[in-house]
Amino acid sequence: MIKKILVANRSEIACRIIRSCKEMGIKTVAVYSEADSKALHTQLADESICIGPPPALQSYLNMEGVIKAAKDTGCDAIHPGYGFLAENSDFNKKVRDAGLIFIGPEPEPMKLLGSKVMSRVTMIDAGIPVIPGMKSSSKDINEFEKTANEMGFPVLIKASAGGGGKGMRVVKKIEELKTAVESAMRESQSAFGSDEVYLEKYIESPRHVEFQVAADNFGNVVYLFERECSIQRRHQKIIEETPSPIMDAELQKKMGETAVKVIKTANYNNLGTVEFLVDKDKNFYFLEVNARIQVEHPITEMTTGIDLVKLQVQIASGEKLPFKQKDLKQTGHAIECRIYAEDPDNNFMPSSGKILFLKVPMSPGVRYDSGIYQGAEIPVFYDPVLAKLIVWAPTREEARNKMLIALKENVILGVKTSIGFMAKCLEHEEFIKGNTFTDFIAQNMKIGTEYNSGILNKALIGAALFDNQKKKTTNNNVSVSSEMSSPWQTIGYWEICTGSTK
Amino acid sequence: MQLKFKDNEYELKLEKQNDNQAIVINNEKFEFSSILIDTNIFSVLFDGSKTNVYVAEDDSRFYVNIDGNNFTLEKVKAEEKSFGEEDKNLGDKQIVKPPMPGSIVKVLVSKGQKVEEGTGLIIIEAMKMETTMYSSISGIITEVNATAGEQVDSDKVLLTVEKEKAE
Repeated sequence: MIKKILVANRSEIACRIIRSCKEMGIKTVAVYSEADSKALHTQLADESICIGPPPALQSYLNMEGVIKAAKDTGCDAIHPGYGFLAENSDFNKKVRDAGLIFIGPEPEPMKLLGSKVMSRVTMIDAGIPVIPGMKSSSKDINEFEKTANEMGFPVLIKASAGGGGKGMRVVKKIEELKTAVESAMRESQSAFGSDEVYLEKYIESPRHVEFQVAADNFGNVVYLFERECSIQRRHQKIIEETPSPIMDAELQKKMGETAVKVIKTANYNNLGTVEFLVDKDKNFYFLEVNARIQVEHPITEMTTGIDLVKLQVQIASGEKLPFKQKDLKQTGHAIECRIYAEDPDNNFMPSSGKILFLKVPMSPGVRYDSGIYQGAEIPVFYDPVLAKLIVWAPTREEARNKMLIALKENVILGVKTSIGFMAKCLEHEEFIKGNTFTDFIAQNMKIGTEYNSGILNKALIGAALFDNQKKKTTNNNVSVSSEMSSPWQTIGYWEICTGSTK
Repeated sequence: MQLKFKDNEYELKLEKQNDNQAIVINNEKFEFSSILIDTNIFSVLFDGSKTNVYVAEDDSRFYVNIDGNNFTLEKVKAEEKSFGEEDKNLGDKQIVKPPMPGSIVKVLVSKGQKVEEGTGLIIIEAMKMETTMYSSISGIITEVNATAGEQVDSDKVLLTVEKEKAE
């Protein structure tokens, strides 16, 4: 059994992994960049090691630095989280070569699935349905132009190593193609260390439905049902739910079994997610496998009762899956909202700064996976995720309502967030009806928030009260210090209560 | 106190009104009542509804949250009132500054170049995301003050676009 894990990540996912490790009695080591010396994950772990300057390439993406930190602290395993090095098969191999356990799949299936192009070809051969497009990535702009012209616009440029919308561009006409390909290549290089991009047909108004799968080292594979992640901005998910509003038992079984087939075809082990696009006629197309824990994994945990991080650790330790497909059951409905530091009124531009005030929502069935605290600095160098708000309730409508209340109770001051915007998404009649497609925001949401004057006036009152109170407090402090008084003199009459007889 | 929200300025003054409180916002008086809960929290009864109002500030802004609605209110400093127009794009001139601190990925134009409205000018990366800034007017690039790879703060003037003067 694993005794000590280095968590090669930051923010909420590092904190979430550390907490599960603690429950399992496993020691943890956090790594951090110079910009993160006071970050929450460094506080939760048993030990914390600085691995370099703020830019991710010199710290969180520095493979040798991470592995050295694990060896120096006597770890026997590394958990990569998501993003950064999580799906880098070279890192995976280097970790194993250093005599450590990598908590994730073997390097070979990771490499195969990590390349969207290689995995497409493999899945086509295995009879899995895929979206039409380029067979492989290319540096030749003519090949992009040729394929795009053959299939017709719009087309989608994707990073082979990508995820989370990074290095992804929708192109509507040929004139925009060259700039978009170049820009996608640079963004992919910066985010994943690889500039390989390719092109496929852009399917309009699909749903994004993915299946959580788990595979042990003995060939046992199960699916832990779906997550629908259609509410996206910049091709990045912001609201996820399970079950999917379109799901029925027949489709669930068909897609779940296809997901298992994908995993078996790739000879994949540990936790993974098989992503599909579902069109209006409920046809589904294999997109890719995410060979890591997903940002949205908590909604699966809430509806299955399974701790997926613990499951990852158990599988990596060489244990068999503790359940079979027939033992798994989906109960109730869960929704997750990703709380990013970003400005929904300004094209979701990332916002950095300091968390001046934080109030976390609390209620039965509400979970808050957070990487922040009051006083925390949000650096400009990384993905601006602050926290994830997750709710569970017996039905979709109850979960939606619970989420709305929880969002409104979640106060974060000091950086701009998408909290208000997500509440408006959840209140929209198309969301209520379950008409959730990947273009939901473009089709339904007005960018630029409007307020009635009453609530703005109330905000102005709040600012004036705060300013007034601050001036009062400042004046008081001056008078106290000038009199050199001690709190013991100003506290007045007091006594120690002993032996209350009530 | 003077605050700015979405291009509108608000002059605020608190007043005592018998047992109640009042605020004058741009010469209009509103009554309300409030209880201080804690440094950042006020319970405010206004316009027939009672809600908590959460407030924090930094040097340049107040941040206010009411029932899930977030407001960022800019502080208007005395010296800015008379020179407030300086940074504005005055229709025949566009001053391009980064939307936030970041690094320059690519400068797409050069000094003296003619650009149309909507032409991509410069690509900036912050928080692992690339943003292209576009020209809001048709004109000539009169100033380029940025190079690829450079780290820039949000107040740096990167480019200036000016309309061609009619002969």
